[in-house]
Amino acid sequence: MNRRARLTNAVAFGAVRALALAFILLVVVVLVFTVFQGRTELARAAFYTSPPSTDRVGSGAGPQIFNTFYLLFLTLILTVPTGLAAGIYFAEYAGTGRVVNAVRRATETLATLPSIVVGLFGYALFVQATGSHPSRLAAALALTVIALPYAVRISEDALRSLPMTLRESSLALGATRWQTITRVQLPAALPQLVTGMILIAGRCFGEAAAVLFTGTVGTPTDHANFSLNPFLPGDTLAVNLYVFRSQVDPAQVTDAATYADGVAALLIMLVLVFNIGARYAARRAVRRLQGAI
Amino acid sequence: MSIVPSAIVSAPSPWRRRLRAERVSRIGFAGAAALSLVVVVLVILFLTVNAWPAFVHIGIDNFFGSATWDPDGAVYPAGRYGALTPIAGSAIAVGLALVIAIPVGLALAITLAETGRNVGERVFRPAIELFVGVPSIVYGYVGLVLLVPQLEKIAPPGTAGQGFGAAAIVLGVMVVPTIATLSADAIQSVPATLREGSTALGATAWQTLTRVVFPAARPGIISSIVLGFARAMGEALAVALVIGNVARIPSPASGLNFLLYPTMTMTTTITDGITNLGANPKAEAARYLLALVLLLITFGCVSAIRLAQRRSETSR
Amino acid sequence: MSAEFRIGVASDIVPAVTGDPLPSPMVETRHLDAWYGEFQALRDVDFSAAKGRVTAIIGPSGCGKSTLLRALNRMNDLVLGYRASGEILLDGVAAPTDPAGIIGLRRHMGMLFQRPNPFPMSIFDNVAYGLRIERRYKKAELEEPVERALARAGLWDEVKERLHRSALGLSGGQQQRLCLARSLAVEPAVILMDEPTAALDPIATLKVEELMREFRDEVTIIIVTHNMQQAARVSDVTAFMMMGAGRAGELVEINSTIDFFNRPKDRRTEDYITGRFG
Repeated sequence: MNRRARLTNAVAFGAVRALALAFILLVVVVLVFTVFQGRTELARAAFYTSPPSTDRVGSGAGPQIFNTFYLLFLTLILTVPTGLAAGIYFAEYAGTGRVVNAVRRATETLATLPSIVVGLFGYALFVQATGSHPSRLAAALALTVIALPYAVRISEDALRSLPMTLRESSLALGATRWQTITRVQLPAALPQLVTGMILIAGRCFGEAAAVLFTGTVGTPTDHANFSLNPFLPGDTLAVNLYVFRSQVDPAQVTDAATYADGVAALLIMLVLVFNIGARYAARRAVRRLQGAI
Repeated sequence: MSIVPSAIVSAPSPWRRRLRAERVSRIGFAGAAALSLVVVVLVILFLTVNAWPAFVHIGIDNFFGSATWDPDGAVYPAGRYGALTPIAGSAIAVGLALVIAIPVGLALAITLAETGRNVGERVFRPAIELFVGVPSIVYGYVGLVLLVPQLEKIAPPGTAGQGFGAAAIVLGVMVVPTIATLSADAIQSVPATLREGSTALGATAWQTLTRVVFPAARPGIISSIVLGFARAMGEALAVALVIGNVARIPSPASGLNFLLYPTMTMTTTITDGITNLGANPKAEAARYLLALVLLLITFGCVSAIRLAQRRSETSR
Repeated sequence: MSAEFRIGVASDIVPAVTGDPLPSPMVETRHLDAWYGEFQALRDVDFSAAKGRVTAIIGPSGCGKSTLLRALNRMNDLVLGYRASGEILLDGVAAPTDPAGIIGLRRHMGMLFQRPNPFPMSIFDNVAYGLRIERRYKKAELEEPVERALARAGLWDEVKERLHRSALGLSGGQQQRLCLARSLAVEPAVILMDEPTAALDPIATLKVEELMREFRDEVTIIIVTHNMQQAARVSDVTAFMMMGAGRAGELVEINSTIDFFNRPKDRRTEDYITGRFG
């Protein structure tokens, strides 16, 4: 009996580890393959500067790269302060009443809402109801709807992870809660906040469905050409990856597949940069706080 | 003695001034928190208003009672708006995806949580967190360029390898990291004393895991699966690339080909309308109604997670 | 609640260690009750701490020692579901209850916690924090009060070379004295200490205890401790709390430390200090 139990133990754990390892290897291979597939595009300077065009010579994803970061910038400007303020409310002030419960539930609902639904909602509200046209501002607002609940949760968790006595020490010195939050709690929570916000940024820049409905008018050449005007429409790398692999006619745009290869490879490289960046920023911030720098 | 108590009792003016700022900032924080509720209400409002023509001109009975989806009148000139096809498509694709994702996700979670701190935390966790960050559209792209051509070789003539099979694999791989990280958190938060108690009674690690740790971590594991389900259900573009987007559920009698015929889900049906927003008001309203269905599913998922977590609180 | 539970009220306090009569009370509570939601944590507590003296609060865990301490500077107001009734007097005058007054109250009552918790900023900024939240200072204006506070906490010589480095680089004992300096910088009338040496090693503990004695006549100290020897070493007056009916904390006895330990008036005090329970 005991021997059988031990045999089961060994076999079961062996199978579990093999499955886990196989999955990780699979995804790693897929990611490496994707980067490999896009290597020629990634090696071409024009890929980073020129706009997409119908033939391969001289085409690139320049405006889309710009739009991706521009949208990210707009979204974070809207999301970070709002999410931080809401997170502070939940961590510091919120009770357990009905209204607070409803608000918490709403935040959880937003975090679970499919981005395509957010896209359709964003189209209905920011584009149609305002009598406007798709724009990068509308896309940033839609992305904010997606990112906000994450920013709220990250801010709340970061503040809650601080020892209670930190804020009590400040209050015991006669500080107001505002002073305590801004001068003690936020600086202390900074490493977690920075890491979290970088990861949110990573989520936003890969988001395609919501931007497809709110930011672009659906043509591959619609990219606002490096303009800073938020009211102009513009597509991002992720949107382009979809459009060039699904809606563009390969007979007309001969380099569509190659272009998509390059964009996919670039997206994966950027994900890597965000992840490593978040880890590095967190480690650095922790070390600074602990006085090693 | 450094103070006279009158200095305490008659609070000095700077504090009074600051208290006004205190009240204002508090209202600001509350307002920011309430924004989520406002947005959810707006989402319900705008989806309902835009779906209204579907209630009036298509009718709930036709929408939920028919499987014929032909919004642009390709076969039926008046157009048909039977949502059963996209709804069943979503259910099948997500169900198959979870069949893949639950075992793999739990295997990863166990490996993550129970393997020694170094390997689990330094190798597996960063890798999986990286996978969570990969944009879903990239998973769809890889499915299209890597997986679909392979499936095409065994697919029935005239089809391209797109269908439930490709969609389930893409969604499954996409959802595994969500299930893995959240389940690993749940497993790790099981108190060590529980584990040690079982081990001390002579149980093997596997017995401890399945009989003590899993039951204790069940609310967290259920939550992770519900979240994975919600994510798979809501994914649009990655699925749109690999499912073929044909308004037909393959016959279950077609055997393996059931997985290889092109078909559709709710999200791909909504996505399909992007190119002609505003052109066909009835079809657009039907798509808003589909979005409303997805919203209701989201509410259901949030409630399910809350229920699972409340159960765990009362049982402790 | 029968009267026998209120054995030692403020007026009963007899001369302390030095034989001098005790100064008048700096902090007093009268009929203080406190609740966390439905649970009553304190019942009818009449506590008193003499000006410029050290008052220790001892008792088994869960007896409401910390609740009493945190009721004094209204820190418990932040706890969800907390409410209190009764009177709190400061130097014989009712303590303020309006929001601005409570901030003023806290400003004059420093607080030290079980775990040292310097703010994640430089040593200098930690000590200057309490001053800066009151009004704007020029950096030069702050140097003198910061040095004075650090010196009073016996830390100046150890940190004067590294004032502008992170406070988190200090040892545990140094961090706790930094927290003390942080409180001292705003010249508080009272310092509330919640098991301030529980996380420190014996040498660091000794240093903090020495400092407490040095502040005699300058600062009123109220210290919660689970360590009876510490209460006997550092305090002029000792108060003993226990859970009464319904697990609500009650003040059993308060007396000069010498009498408290040598001639306890209440059976339960005697049982506790002789180790028969607790």
